[in-house]
Amino acid sequence: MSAATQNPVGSMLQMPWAASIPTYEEFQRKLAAMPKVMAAATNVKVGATPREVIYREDKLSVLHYESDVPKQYRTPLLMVFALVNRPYILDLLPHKSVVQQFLRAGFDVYLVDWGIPSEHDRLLTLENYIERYMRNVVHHVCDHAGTTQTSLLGYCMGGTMSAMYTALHPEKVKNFILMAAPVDWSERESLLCVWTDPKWFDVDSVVDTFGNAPPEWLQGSFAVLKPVSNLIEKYMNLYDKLEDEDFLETFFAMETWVNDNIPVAGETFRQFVKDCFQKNLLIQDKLRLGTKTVKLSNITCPVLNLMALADHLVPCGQSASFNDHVSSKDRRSITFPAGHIGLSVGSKAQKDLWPKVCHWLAERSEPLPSVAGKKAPAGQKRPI
Amino acid sequence: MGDNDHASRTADPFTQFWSDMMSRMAPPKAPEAPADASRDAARHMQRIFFDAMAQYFDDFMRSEQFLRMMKESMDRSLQLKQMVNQFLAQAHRQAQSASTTDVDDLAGCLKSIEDRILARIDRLEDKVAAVEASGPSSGRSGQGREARPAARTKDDRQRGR
Repeated sequence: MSAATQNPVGSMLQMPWAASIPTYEEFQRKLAAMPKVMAAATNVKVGATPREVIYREDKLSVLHYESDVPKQYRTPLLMVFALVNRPYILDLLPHKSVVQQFLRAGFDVYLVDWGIPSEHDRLLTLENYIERYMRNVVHHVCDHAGTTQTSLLGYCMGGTMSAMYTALHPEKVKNFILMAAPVDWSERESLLCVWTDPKWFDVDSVVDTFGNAPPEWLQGSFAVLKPVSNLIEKYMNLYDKLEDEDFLETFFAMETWVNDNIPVAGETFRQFVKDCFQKNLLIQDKLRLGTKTVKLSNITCPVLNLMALADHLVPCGQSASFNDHVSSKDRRSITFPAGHIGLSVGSKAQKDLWPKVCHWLAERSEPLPSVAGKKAPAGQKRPI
Repeated sequence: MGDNDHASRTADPFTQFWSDMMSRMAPPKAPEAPADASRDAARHMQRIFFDAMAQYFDDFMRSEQFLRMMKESMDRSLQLKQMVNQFLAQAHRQAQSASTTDVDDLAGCLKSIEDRILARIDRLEDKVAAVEASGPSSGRSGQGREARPAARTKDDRQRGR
């Protein structure tokens, strides 16, 4: 009888588990790194690209980013993020910033910060966000940039809202980039679709009772979508890399953003869940905003649809069919191996994806007269 | 009998997860771990364990059992919140002070007025644009709604522009 059979528990303890138990020296090193960890946690700076506020309306503000790189294109780029989180994910850190990518490529970049809804903003509807706020924002961005059209980049729910806006006002949008944005909920593969099924989730009761969708509840729901990754692996990874200052900077920047949830205006939340998640009206051209019906076929501008292959929040199936429903002749899709947030802040995306997107947009943007006819600057990546 | 059925139903996914994980982790021909078991092997096992656990949780969170539990938990939270809201509204009413409901109703009225006024302004702007486009001095034709005056926005109105 082998030793393993005689003492199976002891044998298990001798397996490579033992290598996972930290040595005293390693523990001492980790402990010595704690001051650096505390410093990284307290000194984190997110959304640091210089900018000015060019427009305010109620809680929202429009940021115009400043850069030393000379502008090369007249057509401005307006970025629109979701209502559930703060938008500085698009400018998280200097080396993980979609904003910086476009600034370096010579674009005039604007971003709408929806602000934090108060209790009395619970009455704001999706129509208010799109037909009032977005319409005013686009008008002021064009006014500020001296153009009649803007390019639009919509991320996540911001992409869905941007698609609705573009369908209602196609004359204002020159190019449209959809980024990990859900438009078609017919494939019910994601957990969010399962959880928001009308059989299990009564959105009317939630909104009638709480008013705005509570940020703690939203944050908890998102975290529990991947419990092992978000509640266990994340901290084990942190322990492993406690001495890596670059890792700590990124970790705490992400933690700042992840924990910076904001409430979603109640009526907007109600309509988004009912009309989009549950009834899937948008892709069927049946979504109504006030007196208008959103028809994706009204979109005729060049479209670039970015999807993340490992996106558990917005699986590719929820975005892919967008290109089939628009009337644009110039439409492309890129599926990138990243997660929902990795699509913007991941190192691979920063290195491989965003230069290509910048090049795509550059080819379709009006150059400034001073640079028209000149060669593209060195460093611009090959076309998609 | 019902309890046994329930126990066996809840045990099955866990049993499946455990046997799946152990079958992938237990090396068939090395029951005694070598003394120099590497950290890589430990990480590999850890990866397998977490992947199996993640899959288990994902399957569980799609199950009817979990969904029912989630709905019941949410219903109870909503009931509690509604009771608190009702109690506070009644307390405010009896103290003859404004409750959240009263303020919400007032905010709703104001918003409704605001929406109607803004819609009216939009229609007027369209008419003005149409008149300008068809008028003799049609230098500004085609601008239509885009040439919105600065006073249109609520922010500007508040500043008295």
